[in-house]
Amino acid sequence: MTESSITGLLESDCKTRLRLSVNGTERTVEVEPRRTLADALRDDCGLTGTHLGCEHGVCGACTVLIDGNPVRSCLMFAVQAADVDIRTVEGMASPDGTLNPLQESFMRHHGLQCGFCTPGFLLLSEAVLAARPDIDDAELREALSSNLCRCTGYQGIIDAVRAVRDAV
Amino acid sequence: MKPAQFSYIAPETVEEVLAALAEHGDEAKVLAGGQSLVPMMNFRLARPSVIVDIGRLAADESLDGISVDEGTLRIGARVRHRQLEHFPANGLGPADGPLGSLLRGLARWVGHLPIRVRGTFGGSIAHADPAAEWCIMAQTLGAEMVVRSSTRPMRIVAAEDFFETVFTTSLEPEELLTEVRLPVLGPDWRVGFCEFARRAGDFAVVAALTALRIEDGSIVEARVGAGGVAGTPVRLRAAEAALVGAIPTPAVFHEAGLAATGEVDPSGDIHGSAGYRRDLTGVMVRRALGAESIPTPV
Repeated sequence: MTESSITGLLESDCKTRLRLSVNGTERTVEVEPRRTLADALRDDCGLTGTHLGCEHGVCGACTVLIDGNPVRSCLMFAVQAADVDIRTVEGMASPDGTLNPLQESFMRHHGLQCGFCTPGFLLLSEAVLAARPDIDDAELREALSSNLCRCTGYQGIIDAVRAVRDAV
Repeated sequence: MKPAQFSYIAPETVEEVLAALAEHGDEAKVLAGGQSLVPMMNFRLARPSVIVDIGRLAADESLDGISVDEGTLRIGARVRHRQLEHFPANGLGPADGPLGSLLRGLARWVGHLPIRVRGTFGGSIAHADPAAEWCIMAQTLGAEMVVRSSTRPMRIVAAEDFFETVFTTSLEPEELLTEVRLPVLGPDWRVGFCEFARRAGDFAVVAALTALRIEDGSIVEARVGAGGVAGTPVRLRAAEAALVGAIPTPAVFHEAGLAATGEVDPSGDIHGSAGYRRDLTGVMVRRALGAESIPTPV
Protein backbone atom coordinates (compact mmCIF):
# COMPACT_ATOMS: atom_id res chain seq x y z
CA MET A 1 0.00 0.00 0.00
CA THR A 2 1.30 3.44 -0.91
CA GLU A 3 0.75 6.51 1.24
CA SER A 4 -1.51 8.88 -0.63
CA SER A 5 0.92 8.89 -3.49
CA ILE A 6 0.17 8.42 -7.14
CA THR A 7 3.75 8.23 -8.28
CA GLY A 8 5.24 5.21 -9.96
CA LEU A 9 3.35 2.19 -11.19
CA LEU A 10 0.30 1.30 -9.12
CA GLU A 11 -0.10 -2.45 -9.39
CA SER A 12 -3.49 -3.69 -10.54
CA ASP A 13 -4.27 -5.69 -7.41
CA CYS A 14 -2.81 -3.22 -4.90
CA LYS A 15 -4.87 -0.65 -3.12
CA THR A 16 -3.65 2.91 -3.00
CA ARG A 17 -4.62 5.26 -0.20
CA LEU A 18 -6.09 8.45 -1.63
CA ARG A 19 -7.49 11.60 -0.13
CA LEU A 20 -10.59 12.80 -1.92
CA SER A 21 -12.12 16.22 -1.31
CA VAL A 22 -15.88 15.65 -1.44
CA ASN A 23 -18.28 18.50 -0.69
CA GLY A 24 -15.49 20.29 1.13
CA THR A 25 -14.66 17.33 3.38
CA GLU A 26 -11.49 15.27 3.03
CA ARG A 27 -12.11 11.56 2.86
CA THR A 28 -9.52 8.84 2.76
CA VAL A 29 -10.19 5.81 0.59
CA GLU A 30 -8.12 2.78 -0.33
CA VAL A 31 -8.77 1.69 -3.88
CA GLU A 32 -7.43 -0.40 -6.74
CA PRO A 33 -6.59 1.56 -9.90
CA ARG A 34 -9.71 0.23 -11.62
CA ARG A 35 -12.06 1.72 -9.03
CA THR A 36 -14.21 4.33 -10.77
CA LEU A 37 -14.85 7.59 -9.00
CA ALA A 38 -18.56 6.70 -8.92
CA ASP A 39 -17.87 3.43 -7.08
CA ALA A 40 -15.40 5.12 -4.74
CA LEU A 41 -18.03 7.71 -3.82
CA ARG A 42 -20.76 5.13 -3.32
CA ASP A 43 -18.95 2.17 -1.83
CA ASP A 44 -15.88 3.69 -0.17
CA CYS A 45 -17.34 7.02 0.97
CA GLY A 46 -20.89 5.77 1.53
CA LEU A 47 -22.27 8.62 -0.56
CA THR A 48 -24.95 6.70 -2.44
CA GLY A 49 -26.68 9.78 -3.81
CA THR A 50 -24.51 9.45 -6.92
CA HIS A 51 -26.40 6.89 -8.99
CA LEU A 52 -25.07 4.48 -11.56
CA GLY A 53 -27.23 3.77 -14.58
CA CYS A 54 -25.46 2.78 -17.76
CA GLU A 55 -21.84 2.85 -16.53
CA HIS A 56 -20.59 3.93 -19.92
CA GLY A 57 -21.14 7.65 -19.94
CA VAL A 58 -24.47 7.85 -21.73
CA CYS A 59 -27.18 8.29 -19.08
CA GLY A 60 -25.59 10.94 -16.85
CA ALA A 61 -27.09 9.60 -13.59
CA CYS A 62 -23.58 9.57 -12.06
CA THR A 63 -22.81 13.20 -12.95
CA VAL A 64 -20.78 14.99 -10.27
CA LEU A 65 -18.98 18.30 -10.33
CA ILE A 66 -15.21 18.25 -10.68
CA ASP A 67 -13.80 21.70 -10.01
CA GLY A 68 -17.25 23.02 -10.85
CA ASN A 69 -17.64 21.19 -14.17
CA PRO A 70 -20.17 18.41 -14.78
CA VAL A 71 -18.38 15.07 -15.25
CA ARG A 72 -19.50 11.45 -15.64
CA SER A 73 -18.06 9.84 -12.53
CA CYS A 74 -18.33 6.38 -14.15
CA LEU A 75 -15.75 7.50 -16.73
CA MET A 76 -13.18 8.70 -14.26
CA PHE A 77 -11.02 6.58 -11.99
CA ALA A 78 -10.72 7.50 -8.34
CA VAL A 79 -6.94 7.69 -8.72
CA GLN A 80 -7.50 10.57 -11.15
CA ALA A 81 -9.51 12.51 -8.60
CA ALA A 82 -6.99 12.88 -5.78
CA ASP A 83 -6.37 16.59 -6.16
CA VAL A 84 -9.66 17.97 -7.43
CA ASP A 85 -12.73 19.45 -5.78
CA ILE A 86 -15.59 16.93 -6.00
CA ARG A 87 -19.20 17.92 -5.39
CA THR A 88 -22.04 15.43 -5.15
CA VAL A 89 -25.76 15.71 -4.55
CA GLU A 90 -25.15 15.25 -0.81
CA GLY A 91 -23.51 18.68 -0.80
CA MET A 92 -26.44 20.53 -2.31
CA ALA A 93 -28.81 21.03 0.62
CA SER A 94 -27.77 23.14 3.61
CA PRO A 95 -26.49 21.26 6.67
CA ASP A 96 -29.84 21.98 8.37
CA GLY A 97 -31.66 20.20 5.56
CA THR A 98 -32.91 23.26 3.71
CA LEU A 99 -33.07 22.31 0.07
CA ASN A 100 -31.07 24.06 -2.60
CA PRO A 101 -33.25 26.24 -4.91
CA LEU A 102 -32.83 23.71 -7.72
CA GLN A 103 -33.99 20.87 -5.49
CA GLU A 104 -37.02 22.93 -4.45
CA SER A 105 -37.76 23.77 -8.05
CA PHE A 106 -37.52 20.14 -9.21
CA MET A 107 -40.17 19.27 -6.57
CA ARG A 108 -42.41 22.15 -7.56
CA HIS A 109 -42.27 21.59 -11.32
CA HIS A 110 -42.46 17.78 -11.43
CA GLY A 111 -38.79 17.59 -12.36
CA LEU A 112 -38.68 14.06 -10.98
CA GLN A 113 -40.82 11.00 -10.50
CA CYS A 114 -38.77 7.95 -9.54
CA GLY A 115 -35.77 10.15 -8.72
CA PHE A 116 -33.07 7.90 -10.13
CA CYS A 117 -31.75 10.47 -12.61
CA THR A 118 -32.32 13.44 -10.30
CA PRO A 119 -28.88 13.76 -8.65
CA GLY A 120 -27.24 13.87 -12.06
CA PHE A 121 -29.72 16.39 -13.40
CA LEU A 122 -29.35 18.59 -10.32
CA LEU A 123 -25.57 18.77 -10.58
CA LEU A 124 -25.67 19.22 -14.34
CA SER A 125 -28.18 22.06 -13.92
CA GLU A 126 -26.16 23.68 -11.17
CA ALA A 127 -23.03 23.71 -13.33
CA VAL A 128 -24.91 25.02 -16.36
CA LEU A 129 -26.53 27.89 -14.44
CA ALA A 130 -23.28 28.74 -12.66
CA ALA A 131 -21.47 29.04 -15.99
CA ARG A 132 -24.31 30.74 -17.85
CA PRO A 133 -26.85 32.40 -15.51
CA ASP A 134 -28.60 33.91 -18.56
CA ILE A 135 -28.53 30.77 -20.75
CA ASP A 136 -31.33 30.88 -23.35
CA ASP A 137 -34.02 28.22 -23.61
CA ALA A 138 -32.59 26.50 -26.69
CA GLU A 139 -29.13 26.18 -25.16
CA LEU A 140 -30.62 25.03 -21.87
CA ARG A 141 -32.50 22.25 -23.68
CA GLU A 142 -29.29 21.28 -25.44
CA ALA A 143 -27.36 21.21 -22.16
CA LEU A 144 -30.05 19.16 -20.39
CA SER A 145 -30.09 16.67 -23.28
CA SER A 146 -26.80 15.43 -21.77
CA ASN A 147 -28.69 13.25 -19.28
CA LEU A 148 -31.49 10.71 -19.58
CA CYS A 149 -34.79 10.62 -17.68
CA ARG A 150 -37.38 7.94 -18.31
CA CYS A 151 -40.20 9.35 -16.14
CA THR A 152 -40.80 13.03 -16.68
CA GLY A 153 -40.60 13.51 -20.41
CA TYR A 154 -38.04 16.21 -19.60
CA GLN A 155 -40.43 19.16 -19.74
CA GLY A 156 -40.75 19.26 -15.93
CA ILE A 157 -36.97 19.28 -15.63
CA ILE A 158 -36.64 22.09 -18.14
CA ASP A 159 -39.37 24.07 -16.34
CA ALA A 160 -37.63 23.55 -13.00
CA VAL A 161 -34.25 24.78 -14.18
CA ARG A 162 -35.79 27.65 -16.12
CA ALA A 163 -37.66 28.79 -13.00
CA VAL A 164 -34.40 28.96 -11.03
CA ARG A 165 -32.68 30.77 -13.87
CA ASP A 166 -35.50 33.33 -14.06
CA ALA A 167 -35.64 33.81 -10.28
CA VAL A 168 -32.07 35.03 -10.18
CA MET B 1 -20.14 -2.95 -15.68
CA LYS B 2 -16.69 -2.49 -14.22
CA PRO B 3 -13.35 -2.44 -16.01
CA ALA B 4 -11.00 -5.38 -15.73
CA GLN B 5 -7.94 -4.96 -13.52
CA PHE B 6 -5.12 -2.78 -14.76
CA SER B 7 -1.95 -1.24 -13.40
CA TYR B 8 -1.79 2.53 -13.49
CA ILE B 9 0.95 5.04 -14.01
CA ALA B 10 0.59 8.81 -14.24
CA PRO B 11 3.96 10.21 -15.31
CA GLU B 12 4.98 13.82 -14.86
CA THR B 13 6.97 14.21 -18.09
CA VAL B 14 6.36 13.26 -21.71
CA GLU B 15 9.65 11.32 -21.66
CA GLU B 16 8.32 9.14 -18.84
CA VAL B 17 5.10 8.56 -20.81
CA LEU B 18 7.12 7.45 -23.83
CA ALA B 19 9.30 5.21 -21.65
CA ALA B 20 6.21 3.59 -20.13
CA LEU B 21 4.69 3.01 -23.57
CA ALA B 22 7.97 1.54 -24.85
CA GLU B 23 8.17 -0.75 -21.82
CA HIS B 24 4.60 -2.04 -21.90
CA GLY B 25 3.95 -2.02 -25.66
CA ASP B 26 0.49 -3.10 -26.74
CA GLU B 27 -0.41 -4.06 -23.17
CA ALA B 28 -0.65 -0.32 -22.45
CA LYS B 29 -3.22 2.30 -23.35
CA VAL B 30 -2.91 6.06 -23.04
CA LEU B 31 -5.62 7.66 -20.90
CA ALA B 32 -6.37 11.31 -21.59
CA GLY B 33 -9.99 12.43 -21.08
CA GLY B 34 -11.22 8.83 -20.98
CA GLN B 35 -14.54 9.53 -22.68
CA SER B 36 -14.04 6.81 -25.32
CA LEU B 37 -11.50 4.50 -23.68
CA VAL B 38 -13.25 4.12 -20.32
CA PRO B 39 -16.65 3.14 -21.80
CA MET B 40 -14.83 0.46 -23.81
CA MET B 41 -13.04 -0.69 -20.65
CA ASN B 42 -16.30 -0.74 -18.69
CA PHE B 43 -17.80 -2.94 -21.43
CA ARG B 44 -14.55 -4.95 -21.38
CA LEU B 45 -14.20 -4.42 -25.09
CA ALA B 46 -10.81 -3.00 -24.10
CA ARG B 47 -8.74 -4.70 -21.39
CA PRO B 48 -5.39 -2.92 -21.28
CA SER B 49 -3.20 -4.26 -18.50
CA VAL B 50 -1.45 -0.91 -18.04
CA ILE B 51 -3.03 2.56 -18.17
CA VAL B 52 -0.66 5.42 -18.84
CA ASP B 53 -2.50 8.53 -17.65
CA ILE B 54 -1.26 11.71 -19.32
CA GLY B 55 -3.52 13.84 -17.12
CA ARG B 56 -0.81 14.59 -14.59
CA LEU B 57 1.80 15.81 -17.04
CA ALA B 58 2.86 19.38 -16.35
CA ALA B 59 1.29 21.88 -18.75
CA ASP B 60 3.15 21.69 -22.03
CA GLU B 61 2.83 24.03 -25.01
CA SER B 62 2.95 21.23 -27.54
CA LEU B 63 0.33 19.09 -25.78
CA ASP B 64 -1.94 21.82 -24.44
CA GLY B 65 -1.54 24.77 -26.77
CA ILE B 66 -3.48 26.12 -29.74
CA SER B 67 -1.27 28.26 -31.95
CA VAL B 68 -0.61 29.38 -35.49
CA ASP B 69 2.76 29.12 -37.16
CA GLU B 70 3.24 30.18 -40.79
CA GLY B 71 -0.08 29.07 -42.19
CA THR B 72 -0.37 26.02 -39.94
CA LEU B 73 -2.64 25.67 -36.95
CA ARG B 74 -1.33 23.42 -34.19
CA ILE B 75 -3.72 21.88 -31.72
CA GLY B 76 -2.20 20.06 -28.77
CA ALA B 77 -3.49 16.52 -28.34
CA ARG B 78 -4.59 17.23 -24.77
CA VAL B 79 -6.75 20.26 -25.65
CA ARG B 80 -10.28 19.48 -24.45
CA HIS B 81 -13.33 19.80 -26.70
CA ARG B 82 -14.67 22.44 -24.34
CA GLN B 83 -11.60 24.63 -24.89
CA LEU B 84 -12.20 24.59 -28.63
CA GLU B 85 -15.90 25.31 -28.17
CA HIS B 86 -15.02 28.41 -26.14
CA PHE B 87 -11.92 29.42 -28.04
CA PRO B 88 -12.31 33.19 -28.39
CA ALA B 89 -13.47 34.54 -31.74
CA ASN B 90 -10.35 35.82 -33.49
CA GLY B 91 -8.39 33.80 -30.95
CA LEU B 92 -5.98 32.92 -33.74
CA GLY B 93 -5.55 36.55 -34.73
CA PRO B 94 -5.60 37.22 -38.47
CA ALA B 95 -5.47 33.45 -39.10
CA ASP B 96 -8.74 32.81 -37.26
CA GLY B 97 -11.20 33.17 -40.13
CA PRO B 98 -13.08 30.15 -41.48
CA LEU B 99 -10.94 27.60 -39.61
CA GLY B 100 -11.60 29.29 -36.27
CA SER B 101 -15.35 29.27 -37.00
CA LEU B 102 -15.16 25.62 -37.98
CA LEU B 103 -13.34 24.60 -34.79
CA ARG B 104 -15.73 26.48 -32.50
CA GLY B 105 -18.78 25.28 -34.43
CA LEU B 106 -17.77 21.61 -34.71
CA ALA B 107 -16.83 21.39 -31.02
CA ARG B 108 -20.48 21.81 -30.08
CA TRP B 109 -21.34 18.68 -32.07
CA VAL B 110 -18.98 16.51 -30.02
CA GLY B 111 -21.03 14.47 -27.53
CA HIS B 112 -22.67 16.34 -24.67
CA LEU B 113 -21.38 19.01 -22.29
CA PRO B 114 -19.97 16.59 -19.65
CA ILE B 115 -18.19 14.67 -22.41
CA ARG B 116 -16.72 17.88 -23.83
CA VAL B 117 -15.53 18.91 -20.37
CA ARG B 118 -13.25 15.86 -20.12
CA GLY B 119 -12.70 14.53 -23.64
CA THR B 120 -9.66 15.65 -25.62
CA PHE B 121 -9.11 16.56 -29.25
CA GLY B 122 -6.15 14.20 -29.59
CA GLY B 123 -8.04 11.45 -27.82
CA SER B 124 -10.82 11.66 -30.38
CA ILE B 125 -8.33 11.57 -33.26
CA ALA B 126 -6.41 8.62 -31.78
CA HIS B 127 -9.65 6.74 -31.03
CA ALA B 128 -10.52 7.08 -34.75
CA ASP B 129 -14.26 6.68 -34.72
CA PRO B 130 -15.18 7.08 -38.40
CA ALA B 131 -18.17 9.26 -37.49
CA ALA B 132 -16.32 11.57 -35.07
CA GLU B 133 -16.40 15.23 -36.03
CA TRP B 134 -12.68 15.84 -35.42
CA CYS B 135 -11.71 12.78 -37.46
CA ILE B 136 -13.90 13.96 -40.35
CA MET B 137 -12.29 17.40 -40.13
CA ALA B 138 -8.77 15.95 -40.02
CA GLN B 139 -9.39 13.77 -43.07
CA THR B 140 -11.20 16.44 -45.07
CA LEU B 141 -8.68 19.22 -44.46
CA GLY B 142 -5.63 16.97 -44.74
CA ALA B 143 -4.38 17.24 -41.16
CA GLU B 144 -0.96 16.05 -40.11
CA MET B 145 -0.49 14.12 -36.89
CA VAL B 146 2.67 14.67 -34.85
CA VAL B 147 3.72 11.42 -33.24
CA ARG B 148 6.47 10.79 -30.71
CA SER B 149 8.09 7.74 -29.24
CA SER B 150 11.27 6.98 -27.32
CA THR B 151 12.48 4.49 -29.89
CA ARG B 152 12.54 6.54 -33.07
CA PRO B 153 12.55 10.16 -34.22
CA MET B 154 9.38 12.20 -34.15
CA ARG B 155 7.28 11.48 -37.22
CA ILE B 156 4.49 13.34 -38.97
CA VAL B 157 1.67 11.25 -40.42
CA ALA B 158 -0.84 12.54 -42.97
CA ALA B 159 -4.48 11.95 -42.04
CA GLU B 160 -5.00 9.62 -45.00
CA ASP B 161 -2.17 7.40 -43.72
CA PHE B 162 -3.21 7.76 -40.08
CA PHE B 163 -6.79 6.46 -40.17
CA GLU B 164 -6.72 2.78 -41.11
CA THR B 165 -10.14 1.44 -40.19
CA VAL B 166 -12.71 1.61 -37.38
CA PHE B 167 -10.92 2.54 -34.11
CA THR B 168 -7.60 1.71 -35.80
CA THR B 169 -4.78 4.08 -36.68
CA SER B 170 -1.20 3.70 -37.81
CA LEU B 171 0.01 4.68 -34.32
CA GLU B 172 2.42 2.05 -33.00
CA PRO B 173 1.91 0.83 -29.42
CA GLU B 174 4.93 2.79 -28.19
CA GLU B 175 3.83 6.02 -29.87
CA LEU B 176 2.02 9.04 -28.47
CA LEU B 177 0.01 11.50 -30.55
CA THR B 178 1.12 14.90 -29.28
CA GLU B 179 -0.23 17.42 -31.75
CA VAL B 180 -2.41 17.82 -34.83
CA ARG B 181 -1.59 20.35 -37.56
CA LEU B 182 -4.17 21.85 -39.88
CA PRO B 183 -3.77 24.25 -42.78
CA VAL B 184 -5.06 27.73 -41.97
CA LEU B 185 -7.94 28.70 -44.27
CA GLY B 186 -7.79 32.25 -45.63
CA PRO B 187 -10.79 34.57 -45.88
CA ASP B 188 -11.53 33.27 -49.41
CA TRP B 189 -12.47 29.86 -47.96
CA ARG B 190 -16.03 29.03 -47.05
CA VAL B 191 -16.68 26.10 -44.73
CA GLY B 192 -19.83 24.10 -44.11
CA PHE B 193 -20.96 21.15 -42.05
CA CYS B 194 -24.09 19.04 -41.76
CA GLU B 195 -24.74 16.08 -39.50
CA PHE B 196 -27.64 13.72 -39.02
CA ALA B 197 -27.85 11.78 -35.75
CA ARG B 198 -30.78 9.99 -34.14
CA ARG B 199 -30.53 12.00 -30.92
CA ALA B 200 -28.70 15.17 -29.87
CA GLY B 201 -25.15 14.26 -28.89
CA ASP B 202 -25.10 10.87 -30.61
CA PHE B 203 -22.45 9.94 -33.11
CA ALA B 204 -23.49 10.86 -36.63
CA VAL B 205 -25.32 8.41 -38.82
CA VAL B 206 -23.73 10.46 -41.60
CA ALA B 207 -21.98 13.84 -41.40
CA ALA B 208 -20.34 15.90 -44.13
CA LEU B 209 -17.80 18.69 -43.99
CA THR B 210 -17.04 20.97 -46.93
CA ALA B 211 -14.51 23.72 -47.62
CA LEU B 212 -14.51 25.77 -50.80
CA ARG B 213 -12.02 28.38 -51.91
CA ILE B 214 -13.77 30.91 -54.08
CA GLU B 215 -11.92 33.28 -56.39
CA ASP B 216 -13.68 35.79 -58.66
CA GLY B 217 -16.97 34.04 -58.03
CA SER B 218 -15.77 30.55 -59.00
CA ILE B 219 -14.75 27.57 -56.91
CA VAL B 220 -11.01 27.07 -57.37
CA GLU B 221 -10.42 24.51 -54.62
CA ALA B 222 -12.83 22.12 -52.94
CA ARG B 223 -12.56 19.74 -50.05
CA VAL B 224 -15.47 17.47 -49.27
CA GLY B 225 -15.41 14.76 -46.64
CA ALA B 226 -17.86 12.53 -44.82
CA GLY B 227 -18.06 10.28 -41.80
CA GLY B 228 -20.29 7.33 -41.00
CA VAL B 229 -19.99 5.84 -44.49
CA ALA B 230 -16.84 3.70 -44.22
CA GLY B 231 -14.29 2.37 -41.72
CA THR B 232 -12.57 5.75 -41.74
CA PRO B 233 -13.72 9.26 -42.57
CA VAL B 234 -13.44 9.69 -46.35
CA ARG B 235 -12.57 12.41 -48.83
CA LEU B 236 -15.21 12.57 -51.55
CA ARG B 237 -13.16 13.22 -54.69
CA ALA B 238 -16.00 12.96 -57.19
CA ALA B 239 -17.97 15.58 -55.30
CA GLU B 240 -14.88 17.79 -55.20
CA ALA B 241 -14.41 17.37 -58.95
CA ALA B 242 -18.04 18.40 -59.52
CA LEU B 243 -17.36 21.66 -57.68
CA VAL B 244 -13.96 22.85 -58.92
CA GLY B 245 -14.33 25.38 -61.72
CA ALA B 246 -18.04 25.88 -61.13
CA ILE B 247 -19.88 28.91 -59.83
CA PRO B 248 -21.31 28.10 -56.37
CA THR B 249 -25.05 27.76 -56.91
CA PRO B 250 -27.70 25.45 -55.42
CA ALA B 251 -27.73 23.51 -58.71
CA VAL B 252 -23.98 22.88 -58.51
CA PHE B 253 -24.29 21.84 -54.84
CA HIS B 254 -27.05 19.43 -55.87
CA GLU B 255 -24.75 17.90 -58.51
CA ALA B 256 -21.96 17.57 -55.96
CA GLY B 257 -24.39 15.81 -53.61
CA LEU B 258 -25.33 13.35 -56.34
CA ALA B 259 -21.64 12.71 -57.03
CA ALA B 260 -21.10 12.07 -53.30
CA THR B 261 -24.00 9.60 -53.22
CA GLY B 262 -22.45 7.82 -56.18
CA GLU B 263 -18.98 7.43 -54.72
CA VAL B 264 -19.66 6.12 -51.20
CA ASP B 265 -20.20 2.46 -50.42
CA PRO B 266 -21.47 2.36 -46.83
CA SER B 267 -22.67 -0.72 -45.02
CA GLY B 268 -26.00 -0.77 -43.27
CA ASP B 269 -26.73 -1.26 -39.60
CA ILE B 270 -29.59 -0.82 -37.15
CA HIS B 271 -29.43 2.97 -37.56
CA GLY B 272 -29.75 3.00 -41.33
CA SER B 273 -29.46 0.73 -44.35
CA ALA B 274 -26.63 1.07 -46.85
CA GLY B 275 -28.94 2.76 -49.35
CA TYR B 276 -30.24 5.17 -46.75
CA ARG B 277 -26.72 6.19 -45.75
CA ARG B 278 -25.74 6.60 -49.40
CA ASP B 279 -28.67 8.95 -50.03
CA LEU B 280 -28.06 10.73 -46.75
CA THR B 281 -24.43 11.38 -47.76
CA GLY B 282 -25.61 13.36 -50.78
CA VAL B 283 -28.08 15.34 -48.70
CA MET B 284 -25.50 16.12 -46.01
CA VAL B 285 -22.96 17.25 -48.64
CA ARG B 286 -25.52 19.43 -50.40
CA ARG B 287 -26.66 21.05 -47.15
CA ALA B 288 -23.09 21.57 -45.90
CA LEU B 289 -22.21 23.29 -49.18
CA GLY B 290 -25.21 25.57 -48.87
CA ALA B 291 -24.66 26.42 -45.21
CA GLU B 292 -23.99 30.07 -44.45
CA SER B 293 -22.31 29.14 -41.17
CA ILE B 294 -21.58 26.06 -39.08
CA PRO B 295 -24.98 25.03 -37.68
CA THR B 296 -25.62 24.43 -33.99
CA PRO B 297 -26.79 20.97 -32.86
CA VAL B 298 -30.17 22.07 -31.48
